[in-house]
Amino acid sequence: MRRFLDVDLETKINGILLGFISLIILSLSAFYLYHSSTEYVDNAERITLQSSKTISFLPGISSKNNLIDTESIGVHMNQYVYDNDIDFIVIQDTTGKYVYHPDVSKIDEHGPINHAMRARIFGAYYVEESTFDERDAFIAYAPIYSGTDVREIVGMVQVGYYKSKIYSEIYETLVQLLLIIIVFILVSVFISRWFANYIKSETLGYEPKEITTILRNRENIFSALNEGIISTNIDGKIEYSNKAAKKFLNISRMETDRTIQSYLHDRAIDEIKNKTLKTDVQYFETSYGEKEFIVIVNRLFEKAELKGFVFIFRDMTEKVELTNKLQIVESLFDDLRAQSHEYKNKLHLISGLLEMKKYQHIRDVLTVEMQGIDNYHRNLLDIDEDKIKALILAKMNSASEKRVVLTVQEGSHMFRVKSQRFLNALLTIISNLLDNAIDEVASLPVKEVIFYIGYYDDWLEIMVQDSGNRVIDTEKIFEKGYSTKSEGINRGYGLYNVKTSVDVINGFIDVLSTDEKTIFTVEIPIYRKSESN
Amino acid sequence: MKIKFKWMALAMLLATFIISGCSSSGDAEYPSKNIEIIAPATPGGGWDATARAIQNVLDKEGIVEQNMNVVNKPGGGGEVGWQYLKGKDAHDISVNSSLVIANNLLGQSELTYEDFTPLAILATEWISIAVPEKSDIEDGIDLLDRLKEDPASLTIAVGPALGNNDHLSFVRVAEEYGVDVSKLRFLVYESGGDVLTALLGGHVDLATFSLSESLEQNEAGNIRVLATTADETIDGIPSWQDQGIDFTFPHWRGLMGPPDMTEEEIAYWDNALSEMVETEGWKNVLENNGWDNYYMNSKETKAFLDEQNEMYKELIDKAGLGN
Repeated sequence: MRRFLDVDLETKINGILLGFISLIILSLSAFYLYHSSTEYVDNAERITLQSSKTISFLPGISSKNNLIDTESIGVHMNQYVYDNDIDFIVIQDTTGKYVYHPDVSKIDEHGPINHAMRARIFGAYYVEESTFDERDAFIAYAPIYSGTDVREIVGMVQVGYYKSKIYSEIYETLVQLLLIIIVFILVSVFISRWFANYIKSETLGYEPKEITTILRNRENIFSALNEGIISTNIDGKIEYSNKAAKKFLNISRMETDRTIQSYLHDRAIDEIKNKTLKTDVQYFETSYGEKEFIVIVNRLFEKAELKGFVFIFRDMTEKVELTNKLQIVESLFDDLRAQSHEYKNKLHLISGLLEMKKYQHIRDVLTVEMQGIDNYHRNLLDIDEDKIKALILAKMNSASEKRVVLTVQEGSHMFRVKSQRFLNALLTIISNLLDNAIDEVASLPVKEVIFYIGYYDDWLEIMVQDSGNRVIDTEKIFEKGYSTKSEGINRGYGLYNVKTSVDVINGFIDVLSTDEKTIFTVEIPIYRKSESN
Repeated sequence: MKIKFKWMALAMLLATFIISGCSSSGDAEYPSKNIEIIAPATPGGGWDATARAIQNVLDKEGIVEQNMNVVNKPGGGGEVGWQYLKGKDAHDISVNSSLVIANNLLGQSELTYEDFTPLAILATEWISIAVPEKSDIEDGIDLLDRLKEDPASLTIAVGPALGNNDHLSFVRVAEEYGVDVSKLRFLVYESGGDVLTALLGGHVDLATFSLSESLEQNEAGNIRVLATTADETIDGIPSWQDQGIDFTFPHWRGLMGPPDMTEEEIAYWDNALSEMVETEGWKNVLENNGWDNYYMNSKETKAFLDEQNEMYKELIDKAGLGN
């Protein structure tokens, strides 16, 4: 069985269709043939019996003593056979003498009445299958009565119908049927060929087995990828997602009718749907749960019509974390260098003053230094998160190297943060905002930067105020590559990174610029306990 | 679940049909109008006598309260009467005999006994062979000897059709004795009455007909009964057995109704007829006609008819072919 099924699709379809149609046609034909043959037989039986009865009642035959006039009977019977669809008539009298016989030489001779015995004795009317003239025939027997009030059997009539005639009729029917069958099977051959071709065109000429292999391979390849792959239709309904994508987006097997919109912000889809886009590939960054992704979107076209999208999710969480850490380490390194440089300057100052024996000046310098350190530390005391504290200390040092006074506003406080992602975002935000502010005021006569971090209701507030007065295009300031300063290649990424990090933790950033100061305010919702305390 | 409901609905529909079918036929009390008893022969014969006797007894004994009429539908050896019955409802019943089987076997009728509802076998009588008073035939054996010598030498009256019990029984006896039955000359009369008339008038050499029809004329000395198909001597008339031929042949008469009678209607006749055969009136009828009680109810009659059908088939197929 398996071997029979192991053929190509076309053969299979042709085989099934042709087999089925042939089966129907043949069985119907067989039924028809059987039916018509029995009908022919019934017909032969009926016609012979009717004829024998009719003949037995013919006036010339049944009235008294007429069986003697063989000549007259002969004329009648010849006419009767000629007029009716029967093959022969035999009439015998009760002694067995032939009154009429197709073979004229037998008339007036005696013959056996074996088969006609039931008609002779009991007056029975019946049909038998028998032989006549060495040919198979249906023969009907009927008694011939004479008299009206009193009747007596005077003879028997036999009416015959050759079986060969029935066979030839059946044969004719068979030939006609065969013609019809051939026509039908030819038609069904064309139909099944057309159907097989149609199916093949639907499967792009692949055998079902090949399609299975292709799909299995695709699944295997996609599962092996670290990148999440999701394909959707034009409305964003997910049609396929590989293993990695399922893991990234926590798509369970049960959720079959989810759309990509429930995982990404709606705007992303609207943007890529925009038909005026020149390229079919778009990038954007996004986050879901604890992870950050770069999403590559391919638009799928079929006959110049947008049919759907393929989303490739590249997990950027670790890279972003690493980048942030590196940045912080770099800036700490910078700050450390600045700190030691500052100390060296202070030591030079003190040494110079010592040389000049200006002890009062030395005392003043030391007092200011001590006060400064105390101030720094006093306001930093309530910041429990060590990494933030370390960052601020480092920034203070690098600021003082540039003669910028970075003060932490009184009342600043912060609890420890458990979420690494949250912390990373905060570090990026604070580090960049402070660097930005310090750089800004470094060249100004008034060099002041004020930093504040604290809680207000369910929000964590970060404020960085500097004494600069920039003309700020609040629309563009957070875009990638935008900068108020012109020098340097790496310019313009600071505030873009801040904005991205703020988005990642669902916060808001605001900027306000007046003649005397510029204030950046970041507000981050902390209703999720895990992210704050 | 849906499929289950469908089946249930279907089953309930079916049940409703069955119940309603039962109740509708059981609604009207049977019989609800005049009853016709069909005698499928001319007045004066055995069937006519039977029909009138049944009507008489059922009416007089008050077993059936509805009016009953006997209708004669002669022709075709019962065929005409029975065709008439076939188109009627359960208020028509007909007298029958073995012809209801033989007619079909002999190709004289499309009707078979299975087309009707068997109600009862009521009585049986014996078949007699009689010659005119002046005939020189001495007894049964003498008759058979003459026929053996020349089968065509005597004319035999029979009615109403070839193949009836009278005919069959005689063919059987003759064949047993070695007569070439294919040469026998039977003259067919319309009824048993006509047969008797023909015999009395000397138009035939002998007649085969029921004993009830011949008994009276035998006693009056107008005809001589040579033999009967009985198993014993009746009123001094020797049976075939008495004359050394081992042959008995009961000629039964019964009643049947149209096709598809209901259980209730059949039960009604089972009650009525079983009651009738116990009455003095019916016993007198049997006595007067020389019939024997042979009562079978509907169910037994069905089995009996099946058995008879087989017997007749064999008899007809073998006859004349020398056994």
